[in-house]
Formats: sequence, structure tokens, C-alpha cells
Amino acid sequence: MSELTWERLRDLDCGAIRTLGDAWKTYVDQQLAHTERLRTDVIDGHLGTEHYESDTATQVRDQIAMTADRYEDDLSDYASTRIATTLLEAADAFEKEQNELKELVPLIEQHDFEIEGPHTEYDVNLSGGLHRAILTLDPPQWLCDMCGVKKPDGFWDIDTLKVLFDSVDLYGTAIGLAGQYQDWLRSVMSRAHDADEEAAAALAEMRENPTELPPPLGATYDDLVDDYKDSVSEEVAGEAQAIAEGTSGMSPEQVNEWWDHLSDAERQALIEEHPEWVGPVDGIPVETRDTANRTLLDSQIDGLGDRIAAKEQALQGMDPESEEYEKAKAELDDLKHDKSDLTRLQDRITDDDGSPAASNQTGQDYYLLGFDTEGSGKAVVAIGNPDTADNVNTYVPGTGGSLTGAGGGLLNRADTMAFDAQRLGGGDETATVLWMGYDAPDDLIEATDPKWAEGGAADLESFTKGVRATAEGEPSNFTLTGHSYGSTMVGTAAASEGVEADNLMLIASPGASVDTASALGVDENHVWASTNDEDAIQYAPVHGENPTHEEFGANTFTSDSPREGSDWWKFWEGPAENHNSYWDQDDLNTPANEANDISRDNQAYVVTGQEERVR
Amino acid sequence: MTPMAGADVFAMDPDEVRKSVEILFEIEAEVDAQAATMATANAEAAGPLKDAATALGPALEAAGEWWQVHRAGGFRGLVGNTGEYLAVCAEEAVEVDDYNAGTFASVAGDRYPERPNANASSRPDW
Repeated sequence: MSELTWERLRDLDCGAIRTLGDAWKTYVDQQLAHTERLRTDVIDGHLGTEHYESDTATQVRDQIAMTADRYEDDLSDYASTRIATTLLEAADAFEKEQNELKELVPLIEQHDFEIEGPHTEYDVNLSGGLHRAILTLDPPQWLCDMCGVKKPDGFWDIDTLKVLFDSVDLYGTAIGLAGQYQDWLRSVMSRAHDADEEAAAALAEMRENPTELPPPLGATYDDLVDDYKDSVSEEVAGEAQAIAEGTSGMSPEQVNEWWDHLSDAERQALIEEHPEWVGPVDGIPVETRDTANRTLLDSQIDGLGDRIAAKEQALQGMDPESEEYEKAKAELDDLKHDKSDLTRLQDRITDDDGSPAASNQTGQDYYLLGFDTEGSGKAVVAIGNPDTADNVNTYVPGTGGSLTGAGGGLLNRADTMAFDAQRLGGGDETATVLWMGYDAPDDLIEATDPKWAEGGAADLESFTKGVRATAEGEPSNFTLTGHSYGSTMVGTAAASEGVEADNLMLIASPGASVDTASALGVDENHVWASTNDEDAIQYAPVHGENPTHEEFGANTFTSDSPREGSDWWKFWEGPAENHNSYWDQDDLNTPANEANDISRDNQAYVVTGQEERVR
Repeated sequence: MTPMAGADVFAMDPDEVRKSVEILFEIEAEVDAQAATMATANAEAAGPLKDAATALGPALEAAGEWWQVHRAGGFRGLVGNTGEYLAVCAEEAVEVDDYNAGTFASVAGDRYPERPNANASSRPDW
């Protein structure tokens, strides 16, 4: 477990970690020269068939080739992917948080705050000196400036009296600022601990279930080598299963390296025989995941059809008044619901001829990156290929989000975002992803609980890292857009786990789990927030400071509130309706590509890297 | 190529086989030395990480040792084992299943006097 303190993180030599990672990479290249020499100078050279010929000789050449193969796989899987990449990723992650500390700690010190508490949950409090300064009516200049009072000059005059009357405000302001720094510090340390523990896990898991080595030449070799060859044939499947089940400890970047190292035949076998170990895995290229997930989708729909038929048959033999019947009927309804959801999703992303469908708004292909019927259901669907796009916008829905919505309204909304990015993107390719990848709260009561966001944080982190890992060419301009509780999901993942995103957009947010944009681990100049004037959510900042407030420190943009209540006296309808109006086409008489919907335009400008055009 | 005693086992050019043995022993020694160098560098870098109470520090140290002993060490051992087998083959026919380290020790004396493994009596398969 990571017991890294902020002081030790500050003083850590990240350069040394990176240098060691590079040294391991160099070492791998150096070792590959040995296996190359075995093949060219020994197997095909001095020990070639013209010098050494018989069944035994063939066996020895095979043994040398097997030994070289094994070492090459070890060098790739362990020395490079596991050790070197873990070190390089850890160095980057530590350094990123170290840079945050370099900005944050001087601010804490300048304001005469103190860091207290254990490394698992630091507090930032007012120092004794600052307490005394406020109590003795001698607050520091920065606090006077923040509260809009003149610093007293030591005499009992009007300024001193103002400070006396404003002391509650002075305290509140100082405590509020300390609280923001505390959020920031806790987020920095949470991400640092997360990176530390992930790195340690990647190395520890490596040693847990190592692959076998070829047996040495000697007694019982013939039997042992057969066992070894059997284990090699099952090796890739075992690795793939561990990765898919989350027990490998590998990051998406490491998964990507592992995938690249497989032969075409190994990759194809996994896709065909175990699509469930390929489709949902972050770090495997999008096209491949789509292929595997579509196979899985077909198979699950067929399987549900069989189970429904079996359940219907079983019901016919039961007493309709019995508890058994009620239970079976409920199970049947669940199965039908799941099948309906999956079929709806399938219909949406598949053409009539069975080939992948394209969005009717942008003409971009749909890619299925994951789905699950558990709980409210999950689905991750891309419009356009994130691996090749210039920009990637990932939309995270909020309360009520489900698999049902992923095949309907939520994907419609993502389609609208994709359309806007294409309309205003100046020719850049933008992939828009619907990430319904967490168990979202079902209603507003559940939405007051942060556990839904906390439960999805690691998965959202992994998804963003996967997008980075599989990108072809230059990294895309990557935006995470959270709507309503989805913004809490985005904020929680960003603050606690860290996300690989360039921009965060918090729309109609009830709070992003922290009180300051600085805590989100993304340059605060690239954190955006917007809530329209009519949206009721502005009165419910239950998950931290309202991100549109100045104190939060995000950029804001204008969103209109086009919806109205059905009757003048139904005053509650407008505020409720306008919580979901951010992707409306305001003027239906104007062609969509000429519409001037300010919120949609602003979002598209952020997504396509045209922040200067945001209004 | 020279048919060996028990010519149904194999035929070979002993000098070429001995050249293979030399390469295998060279690789064995180089892999061993390079793994030791890498392990030292790894341990040196793991030290400050352990001092900083990271989870990574102990895991890195263990990973470096594991690599040196089990994976690079495993490869080194297999390369050495094959070299020793071939060294025996260059002198007398022996089937793979009939080979043990003691056989190498019996032929190693003159030709590989510096090789520690020539003293095979200390090895488990002696």
C-alpha cells in the first residue's frame, strides 16, 4: 500500500525512475541481440543441418529455438511491457502530481495555512498565526483584498471597525480558500497513491503466475517438453482472460503493448474463440473491440432468446398463483427487458444487411466498445473511430442513464454532439463516444450519493487511458463531457484516479466532487462549466461547489434555456425541462446546419479545439 | 560430417558443434553479467522509492530480483545446459533423454577448464 506523503512526493526523483525505465528498454534491445545470435549463428550457422543432422539434432535446434522464443516473450511481456512501461508510466504520473504540488504548496504557505493529518487524508487549516492575525484585527493583505476591506493600520479607526464587523466573513473566506487547497491536495495525493498502487500491482501480478520455461535437456525431456508445448498453446488465452477479468494488473498502455506483440493468428483466435476477453478491454484497438463486441452482442441476444423460450415453457407447468410462478415471471420479464435493450442497441448500430451502421447525422460508423445488462445496464458506443480521430469527445450521462437509453435517447444526444463537432470542426475528424460505462443513479434521491461516481471512477480512468493507448499517430484533443450527475462522475474520476483528458466539460453540474477546478488534475484553463439560467440544478450543489461559480475557477460558457412549462402556472416545469435542454435545436424552422444554438456551438468549439470562439 | 559411435543417433561436424558451444557459453556469460548489472541499477533506483514509502519501491526491487533469478536466469541456465549437452555430443553420442550434467563434467576437464559448471558434482542432476 502506498504510504507516500506529500513531502516525499515533492522530493521524489522522477527523472531517476524514468532513466531506469529507459535502461530496461535498452536492456531488452541488448538481450534481443542474444536471441538473434542464437538463431543466425547457432541454429542456422554452426549447428545447421549441413553440420549436425539427425532426429536428435532437430530436437536440439528446436530446443534452442524454443529457448529463444521464450526469452523474447519474456523480454516483451515482463522486462519491457511490465517493468519498463510501469516505470515510465509511474514517472509520468508522479511528475504530473509533483508539478501540481509545486504550484499548490507555495500557495498554502503564502496564505499562512498548514497541512495536517495523515497522508491518507490531509487537512489544510489556518495556522495559529493566521488565527491570531484575524482575531487581533490584523488580517493579511490578501484576505482583506478577498473580502473587500481595507487593511487596518494599527489605529482604532473606521477600517479597524470594518474588519471587526467583517471578521466572520474574513474567517469564512480564509476557511473556504483553505478548503479549496485541501481538495486540491487530497486529489493530488489520491491520484499519486492510485498511480503508485497500480504500478506496484502491475509488477506484483507479473510474478504471481509466470509462464513456464522450456525444460532443460536431460532425463524425461521428451515428456516435459510436450507439457511445455501444451502450456505455451494455452498461454495467450490465460493472459487474455486475466486481462479481461482485471487480475493482470496491466494498464491499458501495457495491454496495448501485449496485444501488439501477439501474432496475427493469436489475435484472430482470441477474437473468434473468446470475444468476451477482447471486446470490453481498454488498450485493444477500437476496430477489433467493435468486431468482438458485435459477435458477443449477437450471441447474447440469441442466448437470451433461448432462455426466454425455456422460461416460458417452464411457466406453463406452474401454478399461476404460486410464489414460484411469480418469481419465474419476474425473471422472464427481466430477460425480455434485457433482450429488448440489446436488440434496440443492435438495431441502432447495425444496417439492415447486418453490416455496421453509420450515424444518420454525420455518416460516421458506430463502434461498439462495450455493453453489459447487469444492473441498469451499460454501453459504450463511439460515433467515428477514436483511434484515428483528431478530436475525441466522450459524453458521460447522468441520473437515469442506462442500457435502455444507450440504444435510444442518450445515443441521439451523442449523435447531436457528433453532428455539431462535424458542423463546426473545420474539417477535423471528431469521434464522439457515449460512455454509459457506470451504474448511474436511477433517481434524484440516489443522485445525492457519490457512490455511483466513486464506483465508476476507475473504469472511466481506464477508458481514457485506453483511448490514449490505442490512438494512431498524434494524440487526439480529448474532451470528457459530463452532464448532470455525469459531471460528478467525470469530476470524481478526474480528482481521485486521474483521467487522460485535455478538456473537461461540466454541464448542468450538481458538483464535481471537489470545490476547485485545480483539483481535477487537468489544466484549469481547460476545465469548462455551463448551466443555463433556468436549470434547477443550480440550486442543488450537493457534490461540491457549483462549477459555474467564480470560486470554482473553471471557464464558463453560455447555455440558453429554450424550454418552457406547459402552462404559465406550472412554474416547476421550466427549471426541470431546461436541465435537459443543452442539446436542443432551438429554432426548428432553421435547418440544423445553420442553427445557432449557443450551448451546442460552445461545446463543439471546446471539443474541436476552438476555445477562442466560445461565448 | 562424422558419423558418431551409435551412428543411428546422429552425424555431425564436431568442430562446428564446438563453435556452437562457444557461442552458447558466451551468451550465457553475457546474459548473466548483463542481468546482474540491470539488477544492481534496479535495486539502486528502488532504494529511494522504498525510502519514500511508495508501494512501487518494494515491488520494483522484487521484480528486478525475480527477473534476474527466474527469467534471465532461466534463459541463461537453458542456454548453458544446451551448450553443455552439445559439448558432450562433440565428443560422444548421447541422446537428449540420457544426458545429465555429470556427463559434461566427464568431458569438460581439458576443453572447458574455466567453466564453473564443469564441476557438475554440485548440481542437482549429477
